[in-house]
Parts: sequence; structure tokens; C-alpha cells
Amino acid sequence: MALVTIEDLTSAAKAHKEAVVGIDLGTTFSLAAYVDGDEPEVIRDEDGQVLVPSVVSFTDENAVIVGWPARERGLLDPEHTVFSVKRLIGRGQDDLAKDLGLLPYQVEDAERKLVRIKIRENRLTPQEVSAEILKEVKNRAEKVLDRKVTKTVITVPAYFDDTQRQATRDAGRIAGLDVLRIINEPTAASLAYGLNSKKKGIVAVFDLGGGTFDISILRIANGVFQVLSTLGDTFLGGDDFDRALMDLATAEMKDEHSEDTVRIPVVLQALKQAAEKTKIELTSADTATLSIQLSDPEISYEREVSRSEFNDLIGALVEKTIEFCKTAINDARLTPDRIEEVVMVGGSTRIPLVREKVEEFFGRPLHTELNPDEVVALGAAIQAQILSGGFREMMVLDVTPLSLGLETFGGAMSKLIMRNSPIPTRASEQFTTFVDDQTSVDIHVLQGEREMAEDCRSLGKWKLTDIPPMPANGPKITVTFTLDANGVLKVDAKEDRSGKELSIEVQPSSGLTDEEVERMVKESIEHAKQDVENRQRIDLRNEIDSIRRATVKALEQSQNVCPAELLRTVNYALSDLLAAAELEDIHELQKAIDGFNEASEPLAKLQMDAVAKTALQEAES
Amino acid sequence: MAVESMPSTEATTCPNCEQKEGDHPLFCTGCGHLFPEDEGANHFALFGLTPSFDIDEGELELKLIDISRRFHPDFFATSDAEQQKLSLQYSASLNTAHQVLRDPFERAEYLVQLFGGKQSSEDKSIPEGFLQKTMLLRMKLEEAVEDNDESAIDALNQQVINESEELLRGMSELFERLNNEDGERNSILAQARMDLNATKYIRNLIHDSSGLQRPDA
Repeated sequence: MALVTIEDLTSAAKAHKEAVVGIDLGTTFSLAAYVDGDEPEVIRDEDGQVLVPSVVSFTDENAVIVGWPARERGLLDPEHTVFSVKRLIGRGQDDLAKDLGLLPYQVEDAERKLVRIKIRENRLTPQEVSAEILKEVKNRAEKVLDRKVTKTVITVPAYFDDTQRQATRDAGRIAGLDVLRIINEPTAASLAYGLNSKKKGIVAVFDLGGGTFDISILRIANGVFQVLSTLGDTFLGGDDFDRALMDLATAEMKDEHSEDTVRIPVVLQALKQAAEKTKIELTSADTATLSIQLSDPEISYEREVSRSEFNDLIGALVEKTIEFCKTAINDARLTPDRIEEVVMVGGSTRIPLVREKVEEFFGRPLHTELNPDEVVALGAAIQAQILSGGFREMMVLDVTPLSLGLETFGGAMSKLIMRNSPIPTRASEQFTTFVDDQTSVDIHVLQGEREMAEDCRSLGKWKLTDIPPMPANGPKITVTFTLDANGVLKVDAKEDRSGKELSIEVQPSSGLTDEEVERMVKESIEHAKQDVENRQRIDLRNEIDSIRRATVKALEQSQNVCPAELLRTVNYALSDLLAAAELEDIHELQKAIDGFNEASEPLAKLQMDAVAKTALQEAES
Repeated sequence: MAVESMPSTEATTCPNCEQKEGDHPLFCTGCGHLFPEDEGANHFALFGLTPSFDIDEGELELKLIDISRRFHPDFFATSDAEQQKLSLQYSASLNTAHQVLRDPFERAEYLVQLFGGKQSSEDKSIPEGFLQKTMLLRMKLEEAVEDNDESAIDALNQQVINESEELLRGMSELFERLNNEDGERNSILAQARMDLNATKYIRNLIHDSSGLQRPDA
């Protein structure tokens, strides 16, 4: 009879008790948090790291690397290292035209208006790349919490439209997550801000992240977090400040280099990294050096940038955020003086000019005591806890950021649900047919504030089918549009005279169809094992390389004290090890490493003794 | 303000906790379980109000929060699919009702509909001389904006607001009479319809005037 240890029992129990985790899927960094007892906490790995760079790098052997190591590969393999994928998710080709020229990795037009990222022979959607980031965050969380993590709350910019929200949810599914809620980032931040404090009043959350900007005005009272208005720009963030510096550099580089040189992927990547570094330095220093150095000595650039010069470059962008604040306050039927607290969220709120202008506008000190990188994840964890039945006194009342409507004859946009309407919400519209026995009707659903449909964001075409055959103008079709608590749209249609529920086929404008997502989820599961192996293979090969460097050095140093026999043994063992590095099988790789360590142990011992001896001699003298 | 709790129908037994009586037809006051509804409750009923034009808007906001706690999808995330469906449905209904009830013009429009009055598509009449009055105001406003005459703009805006408030006062009286059954119902509703059609012009004017004054919006 096999004995079951106490350890087995507790780990089984732990595995069954799932943690619901909040995930901030950011443009530049991602992280997770969970609620332990009464307080939300960010998930920190054994090295104390919280943030995972939202960077995914794909090696020649189709291994997927995520996070800091992926970031480091940026200069090594710029064409296959994807960063800021949040700027692509849920977007159509038309939205991205401006930015694509400066990306070192290749983005292509695909079916419908999707974009895909070209990674060697693969064409990946932003959803799939984002799923890799989510998988990494999930794996880290599982390791730290020692529990399975599937149920999550994922955050999105408040100004994300329906397509972007769905795409984020799809990314979660592909990563094997059960996304319980998509929550708006400023709202999440307000939860972290307002938790436990008897804070009440009108609060403005100014959220300037790596790629997106949101301003939300909320009323906090008695545990209720009620969003009054929200506004933003999903293409305004730290990346644009980097871009301003990159534009400065490329303009000046064109004096000495050709347009083509400047667009070489590795140059673009180097410029991006340099710009980011300079921007960060200028937060605490008055001047910083913007420079790139590549392996090709011909291509270089260096220049001092002062903070005031940087302020001039980004001034217009910062002003834009202030304009948004004005409008949002107006939409909330308030005036700036009625705002009692201002909370700063997102890494880009560290920039001195941003703080200065925001403080100036609101005329009061800003709340910067919460870590702007972590507060959104903490809020997501609180929301996760609410969904699990905790924090019962707290309630989130959010709004939809964009008006929703339909295209009418003549190409106008007819609004059915106004922006800043509290969600969940619903609206209906009546339709009929034009031809006898017409069995289907198409509707074109849009989001946005403009008058003409073509200036608004197309969510897609909904085809209502199975209309009972009737003479033209006979059917009375009521179409109901419901926005759920995620701010995501659901459409239902019914023919009133017959009482028949109609079937709906959705053709998303730039999102994935359900079938496509299903397929990706399956593929993801199939590849999961392979992905883990690929990663392990890379780690082991890196280890072999470290061993090689250390051993070569050790052999040099020990030449005089090491017996010739031992030197020979270790040299042979090393060549065996290096030959083994070509192997694919990870078990073989591990065996080779273990074998080498065994063979070289006498050398290691010799080294240790020598070091001890030297230390002793020095101590004695 | 006429506030009453829901008239109790047959005492509903909650299938979830077996509590016998409750004073809300949509949820159990004991355990929070949601009941399916037989027919759509009107906007006022959702808030536990009797249909009336004069409502305390502050009170309405408080009720929104209270009743939201009963329906919010966040509190049904671990419940079964049916409860989740009802929660989404009722929250949407509550929020939609709130949007209508909190705006006096929408509220009036809704009341006309509830009491069986005509829709604007069926009766487009407006009070005598009203159209000319609005057109004149609009013209004067456009002139004032062109001339950049701040004081004229302010004065005209005030006039528009006065017109709007007068219409609202009239609305209040009409519905008071309707509630007290003071006068012939159809003629009261017809008057209300006419005044509501007029308010549409005023609202357009308010909307367009703020657009005129913020040309870059």
C-alpha cells in the first residue's frame, strides 16, 4: 500500500483551491496581484521581481521567450522581438498606418482588417502574442502561490472599444485563463486607492501608461465606486514620449545617414531603447545623453538632451491630456474645483512635466503615494475578490466610454447608447424587411462620437437570420443591444409577430471569430508542453555556455597548480559537453551537464583550496 | 415625493431560501435570489416609485445605489447561469430606467407613454407662436456669437434656460392634474404632447448653442 505523505495531501488541497488573480496587462509591463486575507498584494517571484516586461521574443527554433530575457534579445533579434503589442490588439489596419513605420518587427495586413505580426513563417495575431505574456504571468503566479491559476480579472484602458476588449478576453482564453471580468484600469486603480480608507468624495484618476491614456472621474462613497465620466486616448502614452526623442534622433541622423539606414530594424530597436532610457533619466536629471552604439561602428549617434528640451518635445502631448481632463470634468457635470482628490497612475506619471501640468490644472497636490506601476493590478485583485464573494461592502458602477449605434441609410451613425452611460445597459431598435420573404437583415454596429459611420469604429456586421417569411415590411424585428459589466456588446433579435428568436452571425470587423479563437485555444494547449520544453532547452544551453566560460577561465588560472592529468580530463569533458550542446533532448542535455560537473569536480575543489590558501596567506601577513 | 414600496402581490416564496414574504417582486429580501419576471416592470416600479413627474432627483440617486446592490452582476459571479442572466437583465433595466427618470424631459416623455398618450411621431403639434420664438432666439444667438458679444450671449442663454424651466413647470402641473384626475385625461395628455414637442426645439437649441460657443469641440 502506498503511503500518502502530509505534503502530498496539503499540495493536493492547495492545487484544488484556486486563486483568483488580478492581472494588469500593460503596454510596457505586466504583473499580477491577489488578495491574501484583507489586503491585495502584488505577486513577487523569488528574485523579488514584480514586473514582467510585455515583450515576446521568438527564436530560430520557435521557442517563445517572454519578459526580461525577451527584452534583452531586442537588439539581438529585433525583427522577432515584439513589444507594445497592446497598441495593436483589436485594431484594424487603418488605425495603425501612422506607427508601423517605426516598429522593428513586421506587421502585415491580413483578412478582414486584422493585422498580423510576421514571425518567420508564422503570422501571429496580437491576441496570440498577448496570450504568451499572459501565460508567463500565469506561470509565475502559479509558481509563487503554489496553486493553479485559471480564474482571472484582466484590466484594459477605460477607453478601449468593444473589439479591443473582446480581443483582450480572447488573449486570456488562448492563454488558458477563465477571464471573469474585464475591468477598466482607472476604475481598478480607484479600488486600490479607496480600499480600507474612509475615503469618500469626487476623485479624478489620471492614468498615463506606456501606450494609453485615461482620465476617469469617480464618486467614492460608502464603498461604492461610481464612475461619472471617462475619456482617453488609446494611442497616447510613454511610447509617444519615446517616439518624440526617436524623431529628434532620426531627423539629426539623416544628416549623416540615409533614410534606409535609420529604418534598419536593429537601429530602430536601439533608438527605441535609447529613447526610453533617456526619458527615464530626465525624470531625475536635468540633462541626459541620448546615444546608440551598434556593432557596426559606422552607425552611431550621440547627443545631450536637456529636460527643458524634452519638455518642449512632449509639451503638446501633455497638453492633450489636460484637454481631456477638462472635457471629462464637463461630461461629469462638474467643474475642476469640485474634484477633491487626484490620483496618478501609470509609469509615465513620473515625468516631471506631467506632474507639473496636472497639479497646475487641478490646483491641488497629487496622490503619488501609491506605486503607479502596481496600483492597477492591486485593484484588479480587489475586483477578483469581489467576484469571489469578498469585500461585500464594495461595489463598482462603471460606464461605457463610447457611444454605440448603427449605420443608417446615407451612412450616418445613429446613436443608441450614449457614452458615459452606466453599465450594464440596454437599448432596442426596430427593423423590418424590404423584400417579400426576406429571411435575413444585416446591421452594421459602430462605436464613436462622430456623425458619419465611416468616422466611427466599426465593430462589425451582425447578420440576423431565420426571419419567418412574410411580405415586405411585415416582420417587426426588435434588436436589443446589451452592454454587460465588461462593457462588451451582446446582440439579441426577435421577430415580435411570431415571437421567434433570430439567429445571429457575427462578422467582426477586425476581431477574431469564435471559431478562430477556439482553434487558437486548442493549438495553445497542444503547444504548451512543447513551449515549456523549448524554454528548458534554451536555459540548459545557456547554462552550458556559462560553464564553458567559467571553465576556460579556471583552466587558465589553474595551469600552474593543476596536475596535467586533471587538465586533460577536464578539457576532454568540456569538449564532450560542448558537443552535447547541439542535442535537442533536454534530458540528454541535463545528463551532459551533470556528467561534466562530476568530471570537473577535482578542478573545482582545487580552485577552492587555492582560494582558501590565498585568503589564509593574506590573513597571516 | 410619492414613494411607496412595491404593492405586494401574492406572497412569493423564495425558491432559494424559502422565505415567505418579500416586498420586491424581483428579488428575495432575505437571501438576494433573483426571481424571473412575468412582464416588464415599468421604470418607476423598478425604483419602487409610483409614476409621477415630481421626483426628488437626489433621492433617486440614492435608490439607484441601493437597488444596484441587489442586481449587480459582480454579486452573482458565483451563482448559476439563470441567476447571472437575470442579474444582467435587471441591472440593464435599472440603469436604463435611471437614465430616463433622472432627466425631466425623458421622464415626462415616458409618463406620456405610460398614460397612453401619443408619441411624437403621431402628433407633431407645438404651441402657437413657439416655433417663431425659437427661431428668433437661435438667430440672435448666432449673431451674438459672431459679434463676440459676451453679455448678449449670456442674456440669450438665460432666456433659453427660462423657456426650458417654464415648460418644465407646465409639465409638472399637467401631471399633477393627471394624477388627481382633474380634467379630461386625453386633453391633458394632448397638451403634454404639445409641450414635449416644444421642449425638443429648446433642447436642440441648447445643444446647438453650446456647439456654436465651442466651435472646436
